[in-house]
Amino acid sequence: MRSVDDIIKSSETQKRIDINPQLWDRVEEKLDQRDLVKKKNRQIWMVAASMAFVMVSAIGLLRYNTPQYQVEDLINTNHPLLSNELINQLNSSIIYQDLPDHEGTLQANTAPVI
Amino acid sequence: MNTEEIIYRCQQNERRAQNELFQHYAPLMYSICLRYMKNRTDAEDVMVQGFFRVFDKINTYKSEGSFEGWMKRIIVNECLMTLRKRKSMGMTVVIDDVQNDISIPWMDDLGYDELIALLDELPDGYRTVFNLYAIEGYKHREIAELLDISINTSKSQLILARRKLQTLFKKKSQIKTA
Repeated sequence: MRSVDDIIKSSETQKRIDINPQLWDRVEEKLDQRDLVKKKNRQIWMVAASMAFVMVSAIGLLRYNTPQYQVEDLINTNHPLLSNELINQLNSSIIYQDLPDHEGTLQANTAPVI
Repeated sequence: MNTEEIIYRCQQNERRAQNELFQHYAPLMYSICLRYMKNRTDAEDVMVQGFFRVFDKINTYKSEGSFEGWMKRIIVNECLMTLRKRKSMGMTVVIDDVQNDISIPWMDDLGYDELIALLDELPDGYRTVFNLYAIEGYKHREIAELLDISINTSKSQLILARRKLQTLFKKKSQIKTA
């Protein structure tokens, strides 16, 4: 007497069922589609990341090019040629105004003449 | 290439290795699909989807335990998902005496093909539980979780499957002896 699982297990391991050759083609097609989708997604992310990088760089560059940043940057360098008197002159040449949402941040509205 | 090397190459998404793995395991996986699905077309569809899932998830295989067992679980799950989608299992009948076990007088001359033919005659619900319990070796608690049914429903389905198989088997034997 053999049990049902004996019959099935032994037959399934030993039996060589002929497999329709088209089945592999179908599996391969699905894998190709998946790879294509993955590649497209990767490209979209790379484009988005590049765009974000360019935008952040552009914003940073624009901010740096404002007169206030240039003057403040010059003062902050503490260059030996910058005397205290010159620094005071530079500071006084900028009319500061408080910005409501950036406490302590000051902004110039006129370009200093150096 | 040995199996470990094939698996490693499949993890690198190499088509040749994937094809080799497919050719090696397809007959076994197809016979599993045939046990769950009633016709060859359905079994083929499930197997294609199952192999795709195997290759998609092969990076999660950690070389702990048998690879064949890991693959079988994926294929069986694919069969169950397909059957569940069709809502064809209809496991509403719960019998009270779930301890009532029936043994089937399997004869030595009963071949694999005859057995599969008998299984094909069972309703989807009976066949699924019978496959999972008697052949795959799942516990009733695991079957209940897999199929989202109660443990008693799983036990009932198994008893009903065995009863039905016994009837079918007797009928077949009578035809043979006549």
